[in-house]
Amino acid sequence: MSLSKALCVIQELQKRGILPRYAITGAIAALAYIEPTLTNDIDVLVEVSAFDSMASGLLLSTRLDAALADLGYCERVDVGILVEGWPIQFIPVSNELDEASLDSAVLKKIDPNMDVGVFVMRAEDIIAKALSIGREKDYARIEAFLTQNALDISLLRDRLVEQNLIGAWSVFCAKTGMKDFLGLD
Amino acid sequence: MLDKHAAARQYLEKCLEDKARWRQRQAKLTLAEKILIMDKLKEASALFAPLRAHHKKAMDQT
Repeated sequence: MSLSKALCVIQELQKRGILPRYAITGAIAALAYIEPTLTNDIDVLVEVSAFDSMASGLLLSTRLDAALADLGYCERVDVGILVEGWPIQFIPVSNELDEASLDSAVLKKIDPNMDVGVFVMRAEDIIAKALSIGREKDYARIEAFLTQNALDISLLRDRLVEQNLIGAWSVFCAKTGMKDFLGLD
Repeated sequence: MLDKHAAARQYLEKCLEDKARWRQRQAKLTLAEKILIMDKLKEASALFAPLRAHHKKAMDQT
């Protein structure tokens, strides 16, 4: 099992032109900013052009699956194809926040001694995404960013206003008992 | 009794020191180190999977 190698495979997919624009999201993206938290898979936000669109509107990850098979990864588990022990889930962009998150994604070097870097969502976009989903584990992730001071408050404020997430922020503050330090309410 | 309180206080202070040291260490973790921790967390989680399944089954039956 090697997350590092799995991330190298994502970089390889981009080199091969299979992943034109992407951003790692979820707990693996959060790793670039906060303390590690348990997760079972790697979520990768991908622009729609990486998928094959059916007339019904269904998106198929045929090209991504074929490229992974070419690299020797064929085993499919419930959420995606297993790569070095880590299932990779490719998630198509589905709204404006996703699109903006792709535009703002940042390149993070996995190891300073290796020429391996992957695009991850900006901290403020991970928080915005978590707010928009609003499950307990999403709120826990937001609290981790806040308590570890791993965000730019003005960037977060701008993103929440731009993406109409002020209501979601108010719900988060009410549910967690947190003071609205963004002053959005 | 006073000795017991002093010992408990000393123990608590040591725990807090350890915690502070751990926090400080974590702040210095590189992304590469955190990636290795993720592998270990996932491996540990897999080890406990049978126990979780057993617990869930027991809960479902109650």
